[in-house]
Amino acid sequence: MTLLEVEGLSVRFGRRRRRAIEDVSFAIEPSQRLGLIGESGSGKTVTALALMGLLPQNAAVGGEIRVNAVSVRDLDEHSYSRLRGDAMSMVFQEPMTALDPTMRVGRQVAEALLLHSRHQAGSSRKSVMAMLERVGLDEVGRIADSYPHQLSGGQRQRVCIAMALINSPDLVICDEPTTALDVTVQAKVLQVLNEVLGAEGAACLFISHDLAVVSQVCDQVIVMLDGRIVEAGTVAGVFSHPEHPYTKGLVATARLDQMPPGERLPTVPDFYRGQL
Amino acid sequence: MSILRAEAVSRCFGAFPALRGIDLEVGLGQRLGIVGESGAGKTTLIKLLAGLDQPDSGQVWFDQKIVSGRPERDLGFLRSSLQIVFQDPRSSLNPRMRVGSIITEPLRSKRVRRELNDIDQRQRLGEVLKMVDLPADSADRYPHEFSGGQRQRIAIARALAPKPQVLIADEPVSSLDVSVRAQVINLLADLVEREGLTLLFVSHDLMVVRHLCDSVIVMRAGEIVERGQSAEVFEHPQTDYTKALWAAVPRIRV
Repeated sequence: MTLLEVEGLSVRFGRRRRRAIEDVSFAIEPSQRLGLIGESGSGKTVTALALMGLLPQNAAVGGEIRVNAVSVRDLDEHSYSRLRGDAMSMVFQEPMTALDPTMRVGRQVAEALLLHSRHQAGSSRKSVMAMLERVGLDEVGRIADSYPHQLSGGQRQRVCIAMALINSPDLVICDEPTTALDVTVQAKVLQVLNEVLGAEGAACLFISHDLAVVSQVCDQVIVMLDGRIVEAGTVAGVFSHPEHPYTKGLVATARLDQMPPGERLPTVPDFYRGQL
Repeated sequence: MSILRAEAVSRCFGAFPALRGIDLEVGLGQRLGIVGESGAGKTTLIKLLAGLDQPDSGQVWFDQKIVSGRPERDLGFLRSSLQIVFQDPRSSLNPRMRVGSIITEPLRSKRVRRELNDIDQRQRLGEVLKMVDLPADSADRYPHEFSGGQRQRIAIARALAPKPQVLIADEPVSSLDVSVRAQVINLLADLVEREGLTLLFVSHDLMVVRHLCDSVIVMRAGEIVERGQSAEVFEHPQTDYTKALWAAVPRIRV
């Protein structure tokens, strides 16, 4: 059974009904990893928030979203919040703002667990510690008793991943999870994410502007431009033979490693001069 | 001839040694990359070189003049000839100032003006806007009306306004989309070439440094652990740390 089906999804904001995304359709099978790429403002995050039911009040949503064949568009807030953090969860870009600065991180991970299960507060600590270990953190006792500001950026993002995975979700949405990290920390966090997603068999919608990062996590990819999907396919296919001029531009700019030092780099407008 | 020189420079924050005895010489026209992880001391080093912070011990020279220990009123020569572009243009540009007045602000400083023989502000504004490929009418608008890449162009234009010899860029493309990154790198490369600038480019992304810089220093825990020509350092890294940094750069895997 298809895990997530999105059909003709559109989101408009405000009284002027400004279009954020239009006619977005895609599907994710169980344990599939789908990358969603595009530049800032292309509608990637709006798509993620629409799936999670986290759009603000002034958003008008159209189209269909089904999780395990059940439409989530008809859910009331109470049923939706039972789904969030349980069947589907999310890892945000900036772990410092995603975590509550006034709560020890162990308790924050436990909260995600307790809200969705019959765990007693006492036995939850053990599960929390086990989960923190699985995301590659050392000295989990000390980490669990720390506040977010006492941890490094990489540690904070691992805590967020632990929180997203502790209820063994079917789908994890990662919105630029490593953009705020430096390259060595990014490499470690991606490795951890790959490991835990694999071990849990969870599917993933991975949002990023960085094609290289997407290629290390995903097997399928969709490309968004001005709120619409302009290309979709396997990572290998789309990245080696992009068809849409915009995708060609994105791929070319991401190939810094193949450019002789000092030479002018290709840019997206070299390939695509639409509404950029 | 070296334009910037640091000798045995150390800096502690409380008990934490951010820099430990750094020796560095930057030649005129050199394009030096400064790489390392978060917390390695990259930003602390450039703050000392730019005279924005003082070393606990050691000395910094700019063009044979001592920088460290001097009061701000004696640093006019440095403020006009050394400029910085910061990582995040959202926080480095004042949201309540128009772009034109942001860019010309360095020129209104009494000490910088003295060095520049009262440069014509409006004329210079037009020149630098053209240099960074922003339309002339950008001057009347506010930073929030621009995209991230355009805002970084504004920050670069401001840095160029006082006709500096040295441009320091602290992670200038790290907060930008990969696709916008290429445009800003091209712009920096052009400007450095055309204006004959000396460039210090701070980044955790070695691929960008390899592209833009002729030489590189690798920093770790407040020390320089490796230095040399970019091609040499990246093709034959000597330390495991540099190898790890190089390996961590994400590459497209298909």
